[in-house]
Amino acid sequence: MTNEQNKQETIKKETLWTKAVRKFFRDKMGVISFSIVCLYALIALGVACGFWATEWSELNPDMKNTGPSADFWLGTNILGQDIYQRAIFSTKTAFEVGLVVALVATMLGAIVGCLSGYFSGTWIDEFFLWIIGCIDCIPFYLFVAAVGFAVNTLAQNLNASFGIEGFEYFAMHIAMIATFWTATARLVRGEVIKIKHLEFVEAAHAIGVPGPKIIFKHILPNTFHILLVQATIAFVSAIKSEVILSYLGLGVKNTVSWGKMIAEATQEVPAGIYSNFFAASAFLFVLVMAFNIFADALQDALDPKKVS
Amino acid sequence: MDTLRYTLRKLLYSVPLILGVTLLSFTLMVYFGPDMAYEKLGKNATEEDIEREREKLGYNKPFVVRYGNFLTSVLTFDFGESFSTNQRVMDMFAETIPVSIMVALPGFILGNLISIIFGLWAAYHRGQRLDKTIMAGAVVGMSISFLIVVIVFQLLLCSDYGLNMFPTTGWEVGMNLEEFNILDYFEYVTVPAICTIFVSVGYNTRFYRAVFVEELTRDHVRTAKAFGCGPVRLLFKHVLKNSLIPILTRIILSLPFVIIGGSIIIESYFGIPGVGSVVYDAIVNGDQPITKAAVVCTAILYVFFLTLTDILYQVVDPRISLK
Amino acid sequence: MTTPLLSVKDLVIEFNTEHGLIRAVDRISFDIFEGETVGLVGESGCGKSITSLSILGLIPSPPGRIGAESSIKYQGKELVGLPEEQLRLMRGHDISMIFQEPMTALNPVFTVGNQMMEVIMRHKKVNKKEALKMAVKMLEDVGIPAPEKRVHNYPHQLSGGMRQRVMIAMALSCNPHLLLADEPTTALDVTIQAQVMDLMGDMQKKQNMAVILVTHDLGVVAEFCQRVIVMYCGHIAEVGTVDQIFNRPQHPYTKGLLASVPRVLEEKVEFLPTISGTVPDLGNLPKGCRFADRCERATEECNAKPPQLTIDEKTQAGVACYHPYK
Ligand SMILES: Nc1ncnc2c1ncn2[C@@H]1O[C@H](COP(=O)(O)OP(=O)(O)OP(=O)(O)O)[C@@H](O)[C@H]1O
Ligand SMILES: [Mg+2]
Repeated sequence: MTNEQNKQETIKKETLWTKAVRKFFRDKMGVISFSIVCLYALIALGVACGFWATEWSELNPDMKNTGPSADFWLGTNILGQDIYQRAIFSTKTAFEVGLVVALVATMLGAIVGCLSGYFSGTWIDEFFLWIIGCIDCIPFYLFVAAVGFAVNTLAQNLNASFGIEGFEYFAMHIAMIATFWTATARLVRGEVIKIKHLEFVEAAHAIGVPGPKIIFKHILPNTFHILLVQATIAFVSAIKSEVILSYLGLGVKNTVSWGKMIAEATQEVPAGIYSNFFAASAFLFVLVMAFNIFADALQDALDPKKVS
Repeated sequence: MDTLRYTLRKLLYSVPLILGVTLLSFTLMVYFGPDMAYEKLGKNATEEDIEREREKLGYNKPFVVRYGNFLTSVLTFDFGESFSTNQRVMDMFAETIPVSIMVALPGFILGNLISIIFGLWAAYHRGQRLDKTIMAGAVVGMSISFLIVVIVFQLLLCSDYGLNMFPTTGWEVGMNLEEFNILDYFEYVTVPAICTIFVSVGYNTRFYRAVFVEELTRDHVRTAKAFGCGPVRLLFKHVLKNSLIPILTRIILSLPFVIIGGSIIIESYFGIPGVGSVVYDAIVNGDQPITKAAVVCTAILYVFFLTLTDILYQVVDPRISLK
Repeated sequence: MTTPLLSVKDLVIEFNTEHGLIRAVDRISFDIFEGETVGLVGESGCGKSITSLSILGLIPSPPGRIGAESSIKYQGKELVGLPEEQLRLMRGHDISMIFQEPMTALNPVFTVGNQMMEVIMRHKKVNKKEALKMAVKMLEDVGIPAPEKRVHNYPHQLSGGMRQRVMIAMALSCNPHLLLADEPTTALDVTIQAQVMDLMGDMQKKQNMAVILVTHDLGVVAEFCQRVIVMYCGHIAEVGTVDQIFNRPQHPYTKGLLASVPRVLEEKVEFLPTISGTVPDLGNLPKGCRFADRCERATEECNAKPPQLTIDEKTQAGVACYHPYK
């Protein structure tokens, strides 16, 4: 009986997914933006593998603040570093921050949302809602700052007691994850409460499938379309927030990012030096824009009820 | 009377939230926060000095006691003195919050108004070219970083490289009635307001449009049309009033963040002595009493506004009664 | 024969859907005369609601649109393609509509008086006070007790039956010549249904207006209507007087529809005959008659070409069938 049901369910899901894919590929803007995102991903992958932008941190003391040239396509910064290479290298940083934050925050949100929704009406739900409520009423940048401080202390302790190094590198990631997961959790919770009363879940209950199995085998997969969209949104938010955090001095450490370049540029632009600013802004804008359009197209394709 | 009792009960419900926020900020900022003994005494303090200072700061006491002390300071609104200026934190806030409100409010109000109009307009023409154009504009607006917007507008409007129409930085506006001059105010508030509008209109328009589109599919809209209601009346009477709940919720619940440090970037970048600048400095310098106070004050304001929205719901929607 | 009040010719309503363009209503024609009540019946999804919506120009667009060759003439005036502003003047004034769901059809955040006054003030040049008086009078006419109090109620403070009365009061407040009633009683319970229908009948006689009554309840049709239009899958299957349709149905579909209604008077109902098969999908229509698949009299001819409806000018009756029952 469960087998039968599972089969039916998979058939239903397959058609949903194939339909979504078909719908997505009919959306011209969606496909274009997806290609752009893929292109960026390739660049980032190339950086990670050491194919290009390997000299991003090299100093050229006699080439400070120069304009574009054959050697330095977008000129050099105040330390004589190649801005083009730095911008390319930052693609990797952006993807790393975006992916880590998006994946972990969405996963955390999914798990909490599922538990909260499944146990809605009990103290478990109340407890999670309370935590979500608390996080939501703390200003984002201050929360990030607070988490940043705490993580730094923790990193020092870790270093002192266990010799683990470099944990503070993740201060910003952790801070973002700590704030971003709540949106997903709320959405998933709502969806789970809806799904909970559907036939196949109640049937699973009736034949005695244990709770956790119901949650993770039957309910969670049905919220996947929400998770996918939420992950893209978290990705965009992460790389956008990174800019502001860099400006506040809370950004990534020991590497370069578009945010850091723009933060540097806040000193340079009033003096009429634009290379850093334009390079980073253009790279950032195109990726964020493509990702936004991609997220929209994804949402259109996945959500049959969405009014667009 | 009913409203009063309802309000009190709502405020009572918000106690756990306040407790949660204070617990969270205490754990993150005080318990796991940096060791203030070092910071206070500087580099060349002796071991004993530090030990004594830590004793004084209560570092040796158990978690619960320290949290209790923290709560007391929250309840008395006494967050101590800033590390860097040695001023009382609450004095600093009282001085700078009015400036922040004056900087933030015009952009905030106009940004929401413009977005509501765009949202209504786009929703009414849903699926048509106008809608698509507005929505494309919104996505572009959403894709530009706040920092970039600030840099560009300052460059374009306040510098020799652009129009140079407004002061680059600063806030020379009289903050009491005798000294206040509306022209000064316009001079200093225009560019920050434009920046705020620019970054918020994209997000807001999308949100409002979605709300209005949903409302436009309701049966009562069809009824209104069937009885000859024109588009203007339809949108501004029937659709807008019915969508007030999500709109008010969004606007009111973003107010606390606008009031306390919502414009950190604008204020620090334009050198405006508002609470945003204070918070910016505090974040950059790790000035804990200020960040702590900002977090807790925002949360309290938030909870207060949350209660306010609950009460407003009944004014807006006759179906919701005091229960 | 007088000129009809409303004359619908070759009405086509199309929707742009995920599966391409579908024709939900395909070239239907009918006339409505002054003061008469015409029942519009047919299976769910056959296009009754959108037909009545199209008369007011309320087909949601996108995705819907009215075909280019369609014509809807009201008192000789073409409504298709009429500018929105002119249509607006007619809505609620010349032609009114009552909707199926009294629970959601009224705006929840305004009092019923406010909504009625809005309509009255739009179409009649009266001030607020007079409009309020007229609204109270209308509510009284439709049998709402204590109307001067009820007028200040919000819809959620009224029962379903009362709300539907308010809808009727609102629809009749400007003395329309034509009333489109889309399943006005479906959402109400049986005793209220009869009251509301009686009320509509009374008001109709008082104001001498024509009514198009969309309904699934053939009993109501038999009691209140003079003529019936039977629709099937976007086509008109048969048109005729109540007597003709109920006693001498010609179209096999009409016959099936009637047979599936339980008769209280017959002693024993062994089983209720149903029409076998299903309505064809609008995205995938057969070439010939749309009922052919389910019809026991279907022949080659039926599958080859759809039968045309020809309406007798004199009797205003007709059937779209190659093999009608005699
Ligand atoms: N907004 C729409 N988008 C796409 N198709 C639509 C839309 N509205 C109606 N249709 C199509 O038009 C057909 C007729 O719909 P209509 O509402 O007129 O049916 P009906 O005869 O009133 O049915 P019921 O008795 O259930 O009210 C439906 O089958 C549907 O496929
Ligand atoms: Mg209908």
